[in-house]
Amino acid sequence: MEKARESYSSLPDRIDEPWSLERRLMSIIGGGIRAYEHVFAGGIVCPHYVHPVVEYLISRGEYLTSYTPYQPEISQGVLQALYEYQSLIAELYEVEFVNSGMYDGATALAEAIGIALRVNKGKSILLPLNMNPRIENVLKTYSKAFEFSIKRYDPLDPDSVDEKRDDKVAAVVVDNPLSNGTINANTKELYDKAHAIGALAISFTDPLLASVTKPPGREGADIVVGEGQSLGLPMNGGGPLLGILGVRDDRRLLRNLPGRLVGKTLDRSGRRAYALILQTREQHIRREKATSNITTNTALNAIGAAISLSLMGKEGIRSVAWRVLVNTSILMEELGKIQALYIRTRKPAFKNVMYSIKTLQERVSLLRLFKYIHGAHGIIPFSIEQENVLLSCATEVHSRYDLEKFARILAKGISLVTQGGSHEV
Amino acid sequence: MKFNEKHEFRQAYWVEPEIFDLNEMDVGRVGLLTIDDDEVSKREAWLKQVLGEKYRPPDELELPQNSEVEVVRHFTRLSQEAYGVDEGPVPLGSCTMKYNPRLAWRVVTRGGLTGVHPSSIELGVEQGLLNMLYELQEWFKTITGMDECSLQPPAGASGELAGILMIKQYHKDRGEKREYILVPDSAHGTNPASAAMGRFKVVRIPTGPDGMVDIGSLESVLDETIAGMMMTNPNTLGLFEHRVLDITRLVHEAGGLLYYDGANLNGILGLARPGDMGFDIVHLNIHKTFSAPHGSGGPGAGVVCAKGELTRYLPGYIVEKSGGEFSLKRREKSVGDMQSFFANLPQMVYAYTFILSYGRQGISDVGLNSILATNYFIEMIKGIKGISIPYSSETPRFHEVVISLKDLVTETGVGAEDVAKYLLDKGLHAPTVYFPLIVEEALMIEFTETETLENIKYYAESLREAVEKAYENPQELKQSPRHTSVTRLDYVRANHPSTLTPSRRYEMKRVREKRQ
Repeated sequence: MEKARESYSSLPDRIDEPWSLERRLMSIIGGGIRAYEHVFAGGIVCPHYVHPVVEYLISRGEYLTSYTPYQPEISQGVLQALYEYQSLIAELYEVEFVNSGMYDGATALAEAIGIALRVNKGKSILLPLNMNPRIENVLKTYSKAFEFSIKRYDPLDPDSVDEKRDDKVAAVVVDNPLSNGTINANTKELYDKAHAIGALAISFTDPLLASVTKPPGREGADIVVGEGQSLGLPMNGGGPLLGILGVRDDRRLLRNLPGRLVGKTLDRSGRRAYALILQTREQHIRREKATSNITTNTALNAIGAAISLSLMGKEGIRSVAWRVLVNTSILMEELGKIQALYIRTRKPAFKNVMYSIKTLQERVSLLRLFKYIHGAHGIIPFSIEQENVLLSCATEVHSRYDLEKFARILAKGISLVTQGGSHEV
Repeated sequence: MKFNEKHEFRQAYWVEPEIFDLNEMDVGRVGLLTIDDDEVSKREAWLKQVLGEKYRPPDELELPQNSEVEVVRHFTRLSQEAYGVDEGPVPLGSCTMKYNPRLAWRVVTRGGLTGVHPSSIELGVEQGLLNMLYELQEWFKTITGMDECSLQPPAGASGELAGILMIKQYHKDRGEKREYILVPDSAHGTNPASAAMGRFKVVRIPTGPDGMVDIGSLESVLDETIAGMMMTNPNTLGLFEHRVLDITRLVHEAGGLLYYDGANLNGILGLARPGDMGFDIVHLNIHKTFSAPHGSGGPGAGVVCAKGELTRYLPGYIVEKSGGEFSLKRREKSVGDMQSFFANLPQMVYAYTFILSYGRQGISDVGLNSILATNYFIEMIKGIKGISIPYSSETPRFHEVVISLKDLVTETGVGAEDVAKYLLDKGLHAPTVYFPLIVEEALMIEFTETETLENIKYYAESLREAVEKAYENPQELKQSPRHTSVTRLDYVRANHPSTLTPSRRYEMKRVREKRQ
């Protein structure tokens, strides 16, 4: 005991007054660029409008400070909200079973692969060439646990799936949009090809895009996965996000679905009521035989997504998706005018535009460019996905003016840095 | 008594329709934007042209249409049918439901974390946030007695999986094939689940009559096939494993590694450190010990820390400081990423707020105050007929206590679940029920340092009242709760294949199929 206390000597002094504490916290946390319209950096996470109603409602203590609703009689509100989340996502993707949330899109995809490995004999999975590296990093981590190998196919050429026929493939992952932002025109063919080689088809589809394109459930995907941040949730510097995970109406897939599931039932007096169901899939009942170790998930973000979807509704979500599509095409056009860029995205694209800078190849000069634009213009210009592969995105929060201005600033920054003129920044 | 006969607790019940059924007139409403017919036709024409055969027409999208005020009302009403730490005590054992400081939430929202893109952190322009993460790493090292911490895992279970992968890789790199992980039978369910996820086989170590890991059983299984052992201390009975140094020494001697499940860390803050007990890898639950809210089930945050050679295997990124500049670095043998980005940041803001507001001295007292809360409660319930405290009854507990209603159920038919439901009627959240599995009719109770003595007293009195009623009129407990939004649920209906309803889409599909 004395030892523990002694070693605590390096912990900070207490800050007594709340106003001093808040000031200290704000001074360290509240300093950066926080207006979404100034963020163009893309990838898995892009700026979306977080409606004040979403922020207000998830700030309510009943949602914010509740535990997992294991006592349903006193937690009906949380359970109904999560049931509505499951139901809204089910409509968006057109599948019947959606769980109440995973950590993020990447871990949800890893768990989807886990489902496939359990119901299918295969030991490998097929990923599209150029899968987003951040997602792939998480899959590689889980591959060490689940012991599967990763193989590739070309999403532009569905026949490339056939070539892997002999590799005992458990699942084929189909992303939409592709990691470069291009809308995947071959989703249905790819789901069919997956089935033809005896694999499950896993769709990784942006939920906002799904509101205006043929949903994966209808096109034949067995498992649907998505990154829910796109539905108007905060970026949070990358975490927490919201992992969407669902399966089509198949009992075997359902039994193997990890995470919590809320179902509708009745109480003793015949009132409509909700409860956590099929809990024998979970760790607190089944321990080492559970479908996953997941416990704490991102329920609050799932509730936030349900609120956001409710606000947007059928018309609103289509208008938001439309604006994203229009803005992405404007961004592509504007970036296309910059001579120094090599655009790696095809039309139509959703949200992200991928490009390389011909004159700036090294990470250090790209970093200099990023810091110059950030410092001189207060803009977060791009994310660096791989060496000299950059992503910028356009969403509903950007105006045409914002996008044109961004392209001008980027062009100017590139020529400055190329000529070595930004060292003073 | 907090509530007398005249003023009983009543939870709201709004008979709130599902969001899909709110707009009965089924007229076009939207809570986000003003959308007129012109926009709709322009939009649909554009989408159709650009998306071609991939176009999804509006009549194939079954989403509700509600106005903003109706959405606000709907989710406000639902919230009133829920109960969190902001409503009253939630003494769930091993969940550490302490107060979640509002100041931290204000900093999260007003500070604008919402608008921070991960690239700003990765590429180093968010020096303030990196500074916070760096300081947290340092403080967590101090608190755990470990050499290095990664803030990446999004939850405790994710930290466990990271730890399991570190253990796996460590042995693999040494050319050893060790396929078993030891887990005490009193452990949290995540421990065996995480080990199994890493494709280890799980060996259960029994608890001895004193409530501690049975050292004899442990010794009998230790050999060169053991990869490691996962345990928590204090254990789930609230007892401090006082032979922990022997346990860690024995496992180490067999070549295994030791993993500390930080779910129960609150009980030893200021008293002992996992690193000093001989553990190699530790995870922390930021949403337990460090005051981040549970958010109706998440998000939380895990932090995983390691000692010596094992630090090279840590997942994600470590914040480093060089010449006053903070940056993210990976460890050379890292097991990889546990989520897409660096850490669950709002949860880290809570931890930062918690540590700064308690300070060195306050943190040192957390363990003692949580122990006081537990043992005050034990004193209040001692001698209640039908209740026992199994395993070393007279030994003071740490952060939590497990009571058994085995006698009560034999004598009255009223069990742990019935008592838990009765407590709901008193305006209290129930404890953890039927866990740990080694205790029959278990109620597992943890108050934490932030609960008031009045509430603990009221909780104990309510428990006493429940037991007294069980002897007088067991039916009353069987029929509780009566004052919550709904009464006990039909679980057969909820789980039976013919009535299972996990989404509205599935419900509608079944209705359609029945009609045909």
